[in-house]
Amino acid sequence: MTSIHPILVIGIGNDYRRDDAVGLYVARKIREKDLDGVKVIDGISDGTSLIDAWEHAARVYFIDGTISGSLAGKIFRFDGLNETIPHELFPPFSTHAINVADAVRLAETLGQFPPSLIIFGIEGKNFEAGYGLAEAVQSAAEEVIGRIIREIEELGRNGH
Amino acid sequence: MKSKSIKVDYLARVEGEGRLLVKIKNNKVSDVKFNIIEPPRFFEAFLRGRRFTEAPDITARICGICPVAYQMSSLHAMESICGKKVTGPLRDLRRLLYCGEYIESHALHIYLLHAPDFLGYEDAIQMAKDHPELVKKALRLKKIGNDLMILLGGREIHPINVKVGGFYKVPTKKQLEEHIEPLKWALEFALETVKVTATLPFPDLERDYEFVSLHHPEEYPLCEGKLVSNKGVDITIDDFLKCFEEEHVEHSTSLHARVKARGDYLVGPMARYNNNFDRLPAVARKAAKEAGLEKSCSNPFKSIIVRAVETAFACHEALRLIKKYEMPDKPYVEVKPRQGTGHGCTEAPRGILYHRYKIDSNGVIQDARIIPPTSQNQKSIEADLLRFVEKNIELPHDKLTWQCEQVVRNYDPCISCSCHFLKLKIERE
Repeated sequence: MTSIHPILVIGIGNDYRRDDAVGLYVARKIREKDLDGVKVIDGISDGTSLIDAWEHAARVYFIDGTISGSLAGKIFRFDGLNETIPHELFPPFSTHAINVADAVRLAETLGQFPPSLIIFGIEGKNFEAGYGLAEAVQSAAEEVIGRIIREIEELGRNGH
Repeated sequence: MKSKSIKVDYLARVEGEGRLLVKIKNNKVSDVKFNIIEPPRFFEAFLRGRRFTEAPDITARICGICPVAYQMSSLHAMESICGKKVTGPLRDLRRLLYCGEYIESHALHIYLLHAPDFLGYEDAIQMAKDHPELVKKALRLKKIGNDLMILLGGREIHPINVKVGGFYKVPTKKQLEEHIEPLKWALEFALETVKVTATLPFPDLERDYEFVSLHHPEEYPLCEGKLVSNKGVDITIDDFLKCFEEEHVEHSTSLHARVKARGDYLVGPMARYNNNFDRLPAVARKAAKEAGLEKSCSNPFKSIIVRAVETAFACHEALRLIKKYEMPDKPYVEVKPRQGTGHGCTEAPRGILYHRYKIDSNGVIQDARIIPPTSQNQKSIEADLLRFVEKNIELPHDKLTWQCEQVVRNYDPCISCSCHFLKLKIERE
């Protein structure tokens, strides 16, 4: 694991808006694993900060809650460099004045993409004020944590 | 009977969610409603029963863009109840942290949220295609503000390093000096921004505003001063609720504030600038003058230039504070709770943010009142829209809708703070 290039895991959301906290939850759980070469950021002030954050990273995992009308707990995974991120998935009125999809488009326009960007979205159910994830969202978060860790370990084994 | 409706159901590039309704009947504006639709946040209720020391961290959560403002207003209120005043380097560090928030917030609003309006771009991404270097510089400027917030606040979002009485940890002089070169660049770019924004096309709109801001005898106000206006307000912040009142209006989940004696008023960069021009550093005054701004400015569209001037001020002030900094022996002063009621009012980037708390002798919060800047500007936003639509009623539907959105964005409204959000609808009948 020591030979891998720096990996950045970014989770965003609001701890006090129930399922909006799912990105933060995933990021913090991955931080607890203390993986070599992995930096974790839980929370940014707005989308443009993403561009700053991933400036020196070789691979970025980004996790946020989504509102698409799908069943709670549905997991979305996008290759940020090769797939178009549906703008409507990420709430434009979140705490992020420039939202994720816009930040990715802005980074692309400015040529400031990391070499690899993987975006996980987890469909939320309840974004009201309060604490705690819905059961389906919590289960999805655990699955995403496992998938990201497996991908990172795979990268390590392959000497990336 | 001629009828027309203009509708914008989601107003982009403002923080939070809101809706705007403009009704036009027989070519005259019959109604304007600035309609905030995000559920109220009940922060004032959350605070009851919590320790007085928790208020800065809890209220910082109200906004991701201006958490420092919430922290500063709550700190000042609590310290005033407990009879403590933070002075010297600790006071300077608070002011420096606020400079970081101004640089970050203004850079975001000027280049990524507001400039696209003037230049006819749908958003900053479209603008970045034609002006990539300018947008890259804007992001660099914003990052320099962020970096100050990270150093002093402990992290970028919702700072955790400030406490009643000071900070948990203060930086060394060397740590601060690492920010000097970036801030020098930021000051130069802020001055360039004043020039760039001055060349934008400004729609014609002037109103006889009541500008309300803090005013300090020696400095451009951030954390301290009296509350003043160009129409006679001259009070200490303790008298805030004697002079201003909030009213509930059916179309909004955010209360509308008014001067009791007169009605709507304006807070934010334009108010600070008009009331405190002489307190700006010479470099910012010179830049404003060269940009064609007088000591007084009443065209709300020109608030983008004022924000650029204030960004130059914040960079200049940050450099000044860093150069004079000597690390204090202790990062905070002890503050023991005592029963009482206290007030805090500081200048968030969007305008004055008022807090009032009542605590008991054990330091438990009994009551809290928070009046954010966007609540205070709501009536003024509606009045601007009324005037603007009246003057431009013959504009094509799309252009009028576009410019109405721009009128709202002049205020950089932080709707998630005020309740707290925007959708625009113009109906003609």
